[in-house]
Amino acid sequence: MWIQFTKEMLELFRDKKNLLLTILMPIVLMPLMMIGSILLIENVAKTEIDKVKYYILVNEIPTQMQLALDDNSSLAVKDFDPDFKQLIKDGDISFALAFNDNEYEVFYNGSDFINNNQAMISDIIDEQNIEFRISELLKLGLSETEQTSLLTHIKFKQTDLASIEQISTKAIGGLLPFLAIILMAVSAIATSSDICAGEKERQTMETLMLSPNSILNTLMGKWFAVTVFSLISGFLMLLSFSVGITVFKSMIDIAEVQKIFSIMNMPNILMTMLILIPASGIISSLLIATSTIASSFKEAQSYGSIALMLIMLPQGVVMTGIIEISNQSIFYPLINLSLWLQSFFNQSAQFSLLIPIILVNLVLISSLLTIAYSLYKSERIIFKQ
Amino acid sequence: MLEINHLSKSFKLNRKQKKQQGVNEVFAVKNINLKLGTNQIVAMIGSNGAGKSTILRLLTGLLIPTVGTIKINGVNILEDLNATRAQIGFVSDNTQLYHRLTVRENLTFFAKLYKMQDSDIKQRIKELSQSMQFDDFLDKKINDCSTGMQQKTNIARALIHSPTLLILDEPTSGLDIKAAQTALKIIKAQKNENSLVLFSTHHLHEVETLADHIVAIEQGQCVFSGTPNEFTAFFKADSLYQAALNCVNNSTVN
Ligand SMILES: Nc1ncnc2c1ncn2[C@@H]1O[C@H](COP(=O)(O)OP(=O)(O)OP(=O)(O)O)[C@@H](O)[C@H]1O
Ligand SMILES: [Mg+2]
Repeated sequence: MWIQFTKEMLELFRDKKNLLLTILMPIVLMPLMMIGSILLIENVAKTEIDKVKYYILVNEIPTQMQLALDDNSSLAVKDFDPDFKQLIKDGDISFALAFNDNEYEVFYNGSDFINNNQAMISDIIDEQNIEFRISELLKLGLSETEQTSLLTHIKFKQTDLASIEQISTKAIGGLLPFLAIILMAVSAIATSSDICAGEKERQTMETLMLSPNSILNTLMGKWFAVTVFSLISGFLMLLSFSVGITVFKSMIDIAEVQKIFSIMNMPNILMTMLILIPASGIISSLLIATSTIASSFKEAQSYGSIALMLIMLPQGVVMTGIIEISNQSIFYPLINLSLWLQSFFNQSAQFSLLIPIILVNLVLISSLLTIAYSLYKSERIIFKQ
Repeated sequence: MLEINHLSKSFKLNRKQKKQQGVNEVFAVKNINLKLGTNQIVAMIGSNGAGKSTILRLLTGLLIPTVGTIKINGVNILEDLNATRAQIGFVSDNTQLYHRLTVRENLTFFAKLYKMQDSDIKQRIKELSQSMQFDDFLDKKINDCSTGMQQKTNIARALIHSPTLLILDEPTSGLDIKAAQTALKIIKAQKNENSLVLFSTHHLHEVETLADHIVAIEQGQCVFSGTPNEFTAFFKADSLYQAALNCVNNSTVN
């Protein structure tokens, strides 16, 4: 197996296309993508922070609310305009506030994500409510400590839900394995079609099958080479991602951005690397199987893109955060790895789950390799005319 | 040394071929019986599609016979395929080398698959490259070698483990006159008491210069096996060329 492995590695390294896809792409693509996304974040953050938001009061509101709004330095009131709805749509003002029958009504433009103030206003209103309740409770004769202990609990939960760390953990926790897996799959498509279908196309398969070397050795050597190559790709991407983040972290001093980047710490990066190992094993065994069926390099690449879809679609679902690691989802191979990684980023990882997760993935790897093995044994597949 | 009994091979056809030909399978090789001894060079001749390549691939164990047995030194080749493969060297159009690797890397890789020791490999590569005159090319990539040089390396690859049965399927096809001559010389030099060389060809002058024995295949069947003199006599001709023509015509009439 090692003889085969070293030969495959040597051959793969001699091909510029493989090197380009496996090594250059993750190194170059990642910082580029990061520069782009950071410029975007910076812009968004800046506008959000710097811009003073104008609002209109549709009618008279309680004094306390009025005072709270005045207190907020990023808000400025404008004179009442009956056309305020149009003004909001045009973006001239951010929102309008009305108060009727003990109920606040906020008019705003939901599609304007950058100037979305809903959360801020509801915070202010909530605060008003709390103060209102305190004064009501005071009337009931409760002590002040009793009231605050009652109410801080509610307040604490609210801010936690809106925590930017959690949101960005979800985003990056989903994005990181997603990107790594795309890159690993792209590398595996290139290398597996090269050393499986390419071996047939360049007519070296027969030379190989002539030697007294077991098919198992040949297959494992090839699988190992594709796995190692895709891992190199994944690791390089992580590396360039974290180097990029360290650089940009020092360049941008917006607290929100800093917080997002703090997710990319050493333990998280190392754990991602560990999780990528079984992931690359699956990806490469799938692609070894598809490129063994193919009789030419071209055919292998088109089967490879179907395989890529199969890999990417569930990963996309993971990224959206719809599913979480659970007793059911640990049985979905490959996805369970990124789901578990997400839980690790959230600091809610259960290490005992890793055993069934790894087992599920091993079962898939061995079944895919068994398929490839039976293909290798078939005269029709190997000596297609 | 080589004993072939009732050898037949059929290929299952794919759907399109099935429709065209109206059958499920075709027999490329039909009931071949042959006995060949060592210390000779055997030429296999026959029309295109006669089944020569299929027979040669069956001998190497690359294809498994549908019916019949092949024995080398009395042992069925399928009994221990790896042991069989260690005894056989095979060169054909479909046994190319790795183009991105050098001549030396190619030879070393295949030698390792034959489980040779590192020191033996070095020794053997030196031996072969000197006797076959490609020591200047050892560290060139196959990509950068001429077709003739590639074929030389390919033959060296087949000889690396000192096989007792050397099989070559049209070893000079695609080579220029000079390269073909070199290849033939190399093949001639492989003849010895312990080994058998079997090659297929469409060039009768190669048969004339090399062959001690001729096997003629037509439509999957063996129509002749004997010395060149017996061949011309059998087909009532005064030259090898005429005999070969008669052979083809006879079998198509039948
Ligand atoms: N894998 C295969 N599947 C289906 N048919 C095949 C296969 N291999 C060979 N054949 C058929 O078997 C017959 C014999 O082919 P073979 O290649 O052995 O002929 P050959 O004598 O080597 O011809 P040539 O002189 O052209 O090399 C041909 O009709 C060919 O189409
Ligand atoms: Mg042929």
